[in-house]
Amino acid sequence: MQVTLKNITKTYGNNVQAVKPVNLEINQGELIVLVGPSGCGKSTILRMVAGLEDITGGELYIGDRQVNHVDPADRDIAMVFQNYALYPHMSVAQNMGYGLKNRGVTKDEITQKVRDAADILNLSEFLDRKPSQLSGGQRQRVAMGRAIVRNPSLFLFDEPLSNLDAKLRNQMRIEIKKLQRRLGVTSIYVTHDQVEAMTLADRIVVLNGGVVEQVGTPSEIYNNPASLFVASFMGSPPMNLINLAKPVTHKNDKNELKLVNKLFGSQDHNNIQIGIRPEKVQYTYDASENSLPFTIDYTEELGASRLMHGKIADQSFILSDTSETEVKSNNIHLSFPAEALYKFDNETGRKIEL
Amino acid sequence: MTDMTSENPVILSSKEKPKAKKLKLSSIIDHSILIIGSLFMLMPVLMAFTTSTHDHVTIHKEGLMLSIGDQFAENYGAAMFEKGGFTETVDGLTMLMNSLILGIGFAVGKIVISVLAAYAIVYFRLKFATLAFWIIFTTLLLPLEVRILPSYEVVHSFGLSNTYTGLILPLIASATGTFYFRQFFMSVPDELVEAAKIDGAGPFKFLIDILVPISKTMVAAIFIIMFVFGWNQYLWPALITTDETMFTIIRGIRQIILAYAEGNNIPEHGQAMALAVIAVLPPVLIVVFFQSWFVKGLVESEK
Repeated sequence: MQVTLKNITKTYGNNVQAVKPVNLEINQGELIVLVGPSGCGKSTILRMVAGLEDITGGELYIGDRQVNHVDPADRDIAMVFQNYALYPHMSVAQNMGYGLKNRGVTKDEITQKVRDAADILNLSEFLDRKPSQLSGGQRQRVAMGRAIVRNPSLFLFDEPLSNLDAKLRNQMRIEIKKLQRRLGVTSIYVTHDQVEAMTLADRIVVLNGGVVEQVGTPSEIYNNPASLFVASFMGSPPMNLINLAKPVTHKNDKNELKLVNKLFGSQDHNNIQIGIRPEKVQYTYDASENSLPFTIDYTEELGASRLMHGKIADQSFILSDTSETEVKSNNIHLSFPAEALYKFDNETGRKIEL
Repeated sequence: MTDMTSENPVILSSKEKPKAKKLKLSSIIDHSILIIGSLFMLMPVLMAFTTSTHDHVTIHKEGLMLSIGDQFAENYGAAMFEKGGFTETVDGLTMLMNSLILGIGFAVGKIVISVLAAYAIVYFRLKFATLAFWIIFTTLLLPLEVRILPSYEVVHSFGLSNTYTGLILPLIASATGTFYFRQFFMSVPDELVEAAKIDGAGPFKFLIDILVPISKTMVAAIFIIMFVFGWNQYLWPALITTDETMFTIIRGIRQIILAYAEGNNIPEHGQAMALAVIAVLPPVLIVVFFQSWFVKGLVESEK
């Protein structure tokens, strides 16, 4: 089912505009991830789509039907909550079948559908248990089961994995992705975790302060961030940003800033920030014409890669090295491939095309 | 170095001795307080029981008894099955029945009313919900005794004197119950309501299918408190019932002594004590029975 958000806004009673006009078209079968820091309005948007929150302005379509004022139960959606929101006094089967029961589906049909859903989610042996007798991952699956058993036209996920431990989270992430592919149901997924967003999404919507910063596929978002915010939010470790307009007092920092300025040839327009992904930075032990001296303050060993932290012109800078040999000296020289550089306008925060 | 090693054991032993002694002394004091306290609570009940096994002449002569007498069967039999009172129409069994109806009606009524009130206050966007709640809450300052005359007037003019409705209905509005259920409902995660909304459960279904089942331990707790409270009502039943067949057992205890004392007889102290012991039993049984249920609810710790 196609979902369309047209100039959707949300203003709370105290005149705080939590969501500024959002336009989004979600295609049939697509998995859209809304990502952003807490308070960016991502959950509010999801809850407006679900019908749990009133829409202040704009139009919301699920399929061809405008659903601004339709009851959540009649929107043909299913939602998975962060804390699962399972009914504690009902068994797994009852939890999954409750929505069907309320819709007047016959008992036999409910049993059949619950069994099918349980098969898909490997829950068959737990159908008679209470949620309190299940592990976190199993509860998560029951919550998923409750969603899929109704065969809705839209799935909504509200940070469904944040209550799980890291290992289980990775596993469930893959399961959700597989399940969504298999069922082909349009989905909206909210998370604050950018890794989750990158791995799950067909398209990512990056939100900040109630404004959509960028909409794009994971690789577009990563390789072509539209704004400073997107650049610094997506990617772990985040993109290095050097603010050329930063006032520095130390003589050494001043020199470095001048050097950076020269390297990037940005004399014409100083109020910018230069960005480069940590893994794109190259280093040598010897100085060359286009290199910048760099002192490693400390190193983080991650196994597959090594993060080296330091400072350029008093601004923190990270480079990531995947080679197996350790860096021999703490004083190295960095060079920046021109094609890996980004420029952002300090005032608007938007990217400047090079 | 040598100093320190030689000093250490000395410090330890000198420290340990008074500590052990102190612990012993304090535990003796603690336990004495507990024992005295429990004797203080238990003795009257025990004496009521032992006294109830003597005949009324002995009691009248010698006062309360601590020994067990030989009149157990006679006294309890008379208290339960002998018709007494002015009209000779009421026996212990009838009074027990009346008390049971009052106790259960009182507790169930209070629970139903307070669940509904708390549900309205917590889950519906009412304009003056908080104000309404505090108005309900301030009625705690106005117990039945304060408003007893107008209450009597109203109930009597409805023709509800000497009916179970008249006995129960005026008592079931409960600020305490509403308060407890409100606190509990507010601790129920919002997502549960939202999940139910998406699952197509309306307000009534949500209450019956989800909210009430998850409140069952809460309901049990309030039922215990309210049953005992209702069982022990004295003033209101004394006012509103004049027909002896409507008497509750708490009232009956006094009535037995009075009735027999009227006719220059020695009051039937033995039977009165027997009735008192019988009157204590149902609340005790309710507490014992519900407690096991209560613990089960706590151990399962759903939610």
